Amino acid sequence: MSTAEHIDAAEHLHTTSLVVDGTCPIYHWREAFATWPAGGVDCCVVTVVAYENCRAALSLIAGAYRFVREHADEMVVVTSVDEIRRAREDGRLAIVLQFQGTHALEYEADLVEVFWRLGVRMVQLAYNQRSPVCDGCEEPGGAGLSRLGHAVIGELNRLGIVIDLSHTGEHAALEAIAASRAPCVASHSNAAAVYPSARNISDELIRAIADSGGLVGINGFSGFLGPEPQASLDRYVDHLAHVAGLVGPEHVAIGVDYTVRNPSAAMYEAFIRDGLATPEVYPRPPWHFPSGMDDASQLPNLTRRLLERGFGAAEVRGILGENWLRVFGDVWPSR
Amino acid sequence: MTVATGAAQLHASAVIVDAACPYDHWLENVDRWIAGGVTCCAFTVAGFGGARATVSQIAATYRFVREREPQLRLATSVADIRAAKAEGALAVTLHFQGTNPVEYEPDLLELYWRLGVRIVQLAYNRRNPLCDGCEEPGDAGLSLLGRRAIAEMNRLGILVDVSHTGIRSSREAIAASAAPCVASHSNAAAVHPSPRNLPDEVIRAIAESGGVVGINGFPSFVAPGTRPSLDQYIDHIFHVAEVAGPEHVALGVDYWSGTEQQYEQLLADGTWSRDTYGPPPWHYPAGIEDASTLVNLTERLLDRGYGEAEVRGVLGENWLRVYDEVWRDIP
Repeated sequence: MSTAEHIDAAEHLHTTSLVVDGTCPIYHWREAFATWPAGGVDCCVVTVVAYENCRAALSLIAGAYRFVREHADEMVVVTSVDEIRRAREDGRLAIVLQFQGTHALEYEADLVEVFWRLGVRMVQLAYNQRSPVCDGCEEPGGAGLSRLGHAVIGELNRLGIVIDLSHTGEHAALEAIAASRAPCVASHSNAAAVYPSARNISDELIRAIADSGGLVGINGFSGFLGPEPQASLDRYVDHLAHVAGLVGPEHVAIGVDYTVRNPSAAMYEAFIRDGLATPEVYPRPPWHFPSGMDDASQLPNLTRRLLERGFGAAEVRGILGENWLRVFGDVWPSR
Repeated sequence: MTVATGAAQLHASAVIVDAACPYDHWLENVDRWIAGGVTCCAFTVAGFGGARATVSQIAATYRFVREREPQLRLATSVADIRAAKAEGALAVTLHFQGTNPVEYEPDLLELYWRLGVRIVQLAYNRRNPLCDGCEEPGDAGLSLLGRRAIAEMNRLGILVDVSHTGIRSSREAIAASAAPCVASHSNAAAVHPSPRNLPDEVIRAIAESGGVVGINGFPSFVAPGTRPSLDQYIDHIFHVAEVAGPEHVALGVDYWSGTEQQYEQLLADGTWSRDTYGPPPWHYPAGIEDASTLVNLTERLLDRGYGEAEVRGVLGENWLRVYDEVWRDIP
């Protein structure tokens, strides 16, 4: 096959695949959402709420619904796999609402149903710090699930919400998988065996996630990929290939986590000061995403590189989106 | 009291809606509505608290209903209510008495709509950022925020309720609304004067919008004295039927049993005034002292010459007509 034909095959594969980005923080995504469809993405898992409390979460969700309504020709909030496939046919970006953290639940497991009714279909258990549910991945104590955490997992299972273990402590994550009746995911986490970071996950946890039927979404934040300020595309694929080699290509996907590149120094320092993250894990801005997929419009390059590195077409379709759809299809139908 | 067979049969076959069932009293006494043959309760899930408190009350309501399924079921459509009737279940539709849950963000109305809230009363006696309540002397009309909130309620298909709302605000809300407006639990001031009761002008405006007035059984709003008769309650029904037509009157009985301490607190907060609200104990109209005996209302309406179709209307069909016209599945 000539180089030109090879590129054509990659383009064709990318265009005909249903592509899901498993984590898109909303403050950046609102500004740049057009780059995802430009890169052939059909579904964005949008972090509408992270470490905000319940009251703030309500305003953020209300604002997200207004934003989607004001762009109704371009996007739609979805809560089923059918709706994601229909959105692709209609040329609209499918939006899955995700929480990165359980702060919005405060101490009330019953609020899980409120947020489920508001359309939230993926909830990460912690964000780096300890929460009343469990420890985050930067917390030295390594506490597991609390009693509240078990109640929250019961509600997430009952309602059919994907349990997300990114940013969560290892011990808590393993306990959550054991407690959950449904597949669990790490929506945007990389392999610690490829590059050590408190935000990356062990092979043991990757295996447990895969055994649950879940997947790991590979994160494009350069600080979690390797030591370079801007990682290469191959470095991104290295994490992907590691997970695929360890547990099979049906348990790896993308959750690129495209975020702001140049947050103000004051914003970064407040993030560190408030204990949301440590400077050892989160380097000072500016932040970079891998060369060749610096924003979502360049994601076709990832497909090409995956083919070049020997992934088969069916495996690439899985990585790009079908693996996410399998998990959504397993978890979301409830009651 | 023995109920005539015809009345009992009519009552048993009718869809019956009580459009005002306040929070704690209803939660503690829901069996009375079931015993009284009621098909649907508009449950006042919130109104006084801000958004944060409101979502906890809604979450607790989901749990309350879930723990009593299939006897209770949440309803957001007339089809849900008719299905409840067919299954012998009690349909619960969520109602706010007041717009404090909206705070200053009309965008929150879509969240409440998504949570199942289908009826929102604009004020509760006092002033709020949207408009005045009926005990507010200034009688301010709708604010700019109030107009935005009504437009949002219209877009979403949330029923606008003007019980407890100031006269001018009610008039302006009805004029601003593109959909029928109701007073879920308000009586006729022409029958018994009270700041909580409606002048004929507002009753007519509600009817012209396509809405309904739900007649309230709280003693201070029915008649002088502390022990209203069933006939005095029915006098309000007949008055509204005469002024606006029998298709514009229904039930919103507002059963509540507060303690002396709760009463004093409501007065101290300025939520109630002593002039408008008599002290407890409160005696609801004789014969329908609680919701379990509502069949006596059906019998007495027939005795007083109200036609069967009109009785079905007042018991529930008039509410269903308005709900069906206003509520929507998709915003």
